[in-house]
Amino acid sequence: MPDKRPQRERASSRVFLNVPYDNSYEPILVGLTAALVALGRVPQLTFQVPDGGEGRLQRIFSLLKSCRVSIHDLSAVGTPVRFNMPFELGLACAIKAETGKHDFLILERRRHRLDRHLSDLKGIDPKVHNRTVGGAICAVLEVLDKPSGNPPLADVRRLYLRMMRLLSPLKKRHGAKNIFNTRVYGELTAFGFEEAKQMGL
Amino acid sequence: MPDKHSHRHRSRGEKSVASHGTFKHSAKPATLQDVLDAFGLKRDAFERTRASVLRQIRNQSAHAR
Repeated sequence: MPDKRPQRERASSRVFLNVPYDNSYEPILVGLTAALVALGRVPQLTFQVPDGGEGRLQRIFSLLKSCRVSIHDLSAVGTPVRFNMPFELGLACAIKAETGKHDFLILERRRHRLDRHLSDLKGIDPKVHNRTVGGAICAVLEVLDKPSGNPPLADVRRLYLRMMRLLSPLKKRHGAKNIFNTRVYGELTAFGFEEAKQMGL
Repeated sequence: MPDKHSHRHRSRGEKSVASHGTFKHSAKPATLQDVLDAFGLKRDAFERTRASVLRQIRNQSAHAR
């Protein structure tokens, strides 16, 4: 049955995740995803949209614009230098400035690191997660609200553990080496939604 | 009497700076169908995967015991 809700309403629950596609980041990505699904949000990552000939930059820009909120984890930005994540944060800043209809959250590994490495954003406070799953979940619960009230951190942690348990069989089923795969990540997120419902979140 | 020191801090704009970049966003929760649509997944295929993966986890737990 086609969804008759306005596009605006669907967009408001979408959250763009700008995170490192690195195997060591998998637990934090699952933690962020658990927090988002517990709040009824739909995470969006660049690997889930087919290229369609528009080119990667246009694809990222369109996806970012379709989300009301974006989360940018700059904790992995270091050496070797990769500019993708700060660049996508720049796109989010531009969308916010131009439309006024976008908010972004920056995650960092350590306090004051952003001031030194990205001084153009001086005055914007990142949430510091110390590269921990708990810190990442707390950061999301602090800025995003569910109209019926946010679930307690302990419940989101339980959801995270359930989702981590599902990750390995999902990778195996789809012959994937990591989580950065549309089917693996999409099904894990959908699983998370069902699990959250069963847990009464 | 107002604290001179804290006044100096406020006049430098540190209070507003500290709260800048923090926001609160509330939204009506999405549905499972929204998630499936976002990832281009079909509901029946997802249900099949779900049943299979949960069965696999149950079997693993039974073996572990």
